[in-house]
Amino acid sequence: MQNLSEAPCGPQLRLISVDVPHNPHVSRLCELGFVPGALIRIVKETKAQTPMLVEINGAFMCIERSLAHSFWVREELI
Amino acid sequence: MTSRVYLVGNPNAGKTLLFNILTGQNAKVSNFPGVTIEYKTGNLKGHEIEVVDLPGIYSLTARSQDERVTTNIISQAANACRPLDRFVAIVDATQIKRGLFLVSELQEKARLDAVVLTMGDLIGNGLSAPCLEALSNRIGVPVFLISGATLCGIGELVAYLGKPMPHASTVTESLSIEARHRLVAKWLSGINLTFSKSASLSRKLDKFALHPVLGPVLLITIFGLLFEGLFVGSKPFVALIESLKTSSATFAHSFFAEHSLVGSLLADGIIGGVGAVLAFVPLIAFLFLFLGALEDTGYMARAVFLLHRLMSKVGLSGKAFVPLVSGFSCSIPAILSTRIIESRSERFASIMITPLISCSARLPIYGLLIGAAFSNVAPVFGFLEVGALVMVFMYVFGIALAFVVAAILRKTVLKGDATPLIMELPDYRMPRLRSIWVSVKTRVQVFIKEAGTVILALTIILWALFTFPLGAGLEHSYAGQFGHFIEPLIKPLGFDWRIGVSLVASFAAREVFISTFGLIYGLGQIDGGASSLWQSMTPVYTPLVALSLLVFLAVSLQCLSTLAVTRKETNSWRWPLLQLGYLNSLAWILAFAVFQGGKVLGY
Repeated sequence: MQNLSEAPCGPQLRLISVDVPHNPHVSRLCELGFVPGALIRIVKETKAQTPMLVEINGAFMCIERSLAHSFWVREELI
Repeated sequence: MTSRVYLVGNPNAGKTLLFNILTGQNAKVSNFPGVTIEYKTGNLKGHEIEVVDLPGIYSLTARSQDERVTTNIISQAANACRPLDRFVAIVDATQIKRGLFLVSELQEKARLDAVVLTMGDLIGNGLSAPCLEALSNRIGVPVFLISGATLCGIGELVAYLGKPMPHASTVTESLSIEARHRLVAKWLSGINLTFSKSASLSRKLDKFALHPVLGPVLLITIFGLLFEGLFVGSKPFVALIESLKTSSATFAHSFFAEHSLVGSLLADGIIGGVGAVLAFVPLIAFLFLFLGALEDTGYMARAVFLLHRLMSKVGLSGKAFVPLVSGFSCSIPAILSTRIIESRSERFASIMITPLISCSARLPIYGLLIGAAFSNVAPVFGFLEVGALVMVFMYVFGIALAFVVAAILRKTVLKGDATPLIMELPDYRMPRLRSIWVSVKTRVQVFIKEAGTVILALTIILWALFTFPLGAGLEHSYAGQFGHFIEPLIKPLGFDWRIGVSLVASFAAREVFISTFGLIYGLGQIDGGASSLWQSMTPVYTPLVALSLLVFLAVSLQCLSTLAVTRKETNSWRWPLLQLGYLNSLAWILAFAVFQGGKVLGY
């Protein structure tokens, strides 16, 4: 299991757990589909202070890297 | 009792486009989230039914002011006893899971009557009639598939909404976020959606648009071309209107007896003053043509992504870019659109810097001064107009200064953490000619209406102030005396009494700056046969004076409506007074530095 903010770009990732789900910003991401079981893919490798670009449920979302720290993922083997 | 249909859905799901189709209105539509910040109403065509377009929400837990507008209306409508009111959920079919999450909440909290899946033209074979029926049975309300682009499915929807007896979904139990996502998955089981090529093309284009090096280069190139096109494209049209104005004024002068007051009022006052303002209509039209096209493609969301890092360094989130872009049009809607920013300190900082973004009312003034001072300078590399480069500089200067001020505010009076960015990148699409046309037409109409009302009235008053006492001459008229009175304050900036009068007059409406110059040059007969106002001004104002004046006008706050809207949005007099004080002081200091610095350097 690894943190979403440190996960590699490209492979499918399965979201395993969410830290601090009551944080309003994390909660907003949960509403947008960032819940355990969801499949995520990091689309774009970005520098440390730039937002990440991730694909979830067919949508492309920019999320701040600090928010990605709250999500734990595992690489999905196809 | 009139029945109401509330359109609720995620941001950028196509609610306003559907609202326009259902009601025949022309509300602004763009391809990025957060355009609608207040509810709009209109009547369903051919029916006594009110349609209400609500700002987009992702869930019923509101986190910003625009979201609160929608959630408040939903809770008020749920509590009020209005059996004819109903809610229609608008869901982008290409983002169906996210849209249905909100549907599951609406089922619980509101009288949900139907689900409308938009963007039907982008869906492949996945949503056949049996699939729609299955989905409808699972959700418990009718489901319609429509396309705003092809108008497919609209007739069926209008017929349904026109029915007197609405269907109402049953209230379901309260669920957790995860349980809701499971419910949506259950609704969609067996329904596989395929999309048209737009999404994959968007990803290919984003490889360039979001590239760490190519992305910023592309951003600068796009905005550079926008202003080059704006300046070069509008030039012949501006010249045409200018020549029409000059020949009309000459005709009016010849029609009346020499030194006739009526002739002077008509030729120098109305035609010279208001005509000078109207000459810049093409500039306004080109600005909204280019901005409208850019907004409609979906590129603005990419600009937010690219600029977020820079904006977070000055304490703003990427979301603040949306009001700043609106500021190119007008500060008032731009300040209103700061409602999409969740944090109070970030929102107030955005409000305070918005007037630094050059609005469309400044554009004609830039056009006049740049034309007067730089029209005779040879193009750079033989093709880049110096005027266009100065125009780009004016916009970049405003944005850069706004960032500096934001950084200072966020470290002093408006401290607080920046809101983390969460934003969807919409797919690229071809700009819709209709929405661009509506945007251009609306702004040109507003501009012409203002020229025909406020500016006309002020120009007549100014004409009187420049004409009386009779026989005193322009310089010793009431306005001239006032100009000379304030001249010591503005002389260190390189400004004379004429500019002083124009600056004071433009507090009522910024465009009056131009009509005042039109009046001065018409009454004073300074033009010496020049065909346009800027040609008349060229010998009087040097490039250094023009630059100092451009800097002053780019920074100073001369718009009473902006102050009023800042007062309303901040609910205090403290912020508009601070805005007025800091912007005008800063304008004076910077113009002083430009003029005195230029003189020291020998210009």
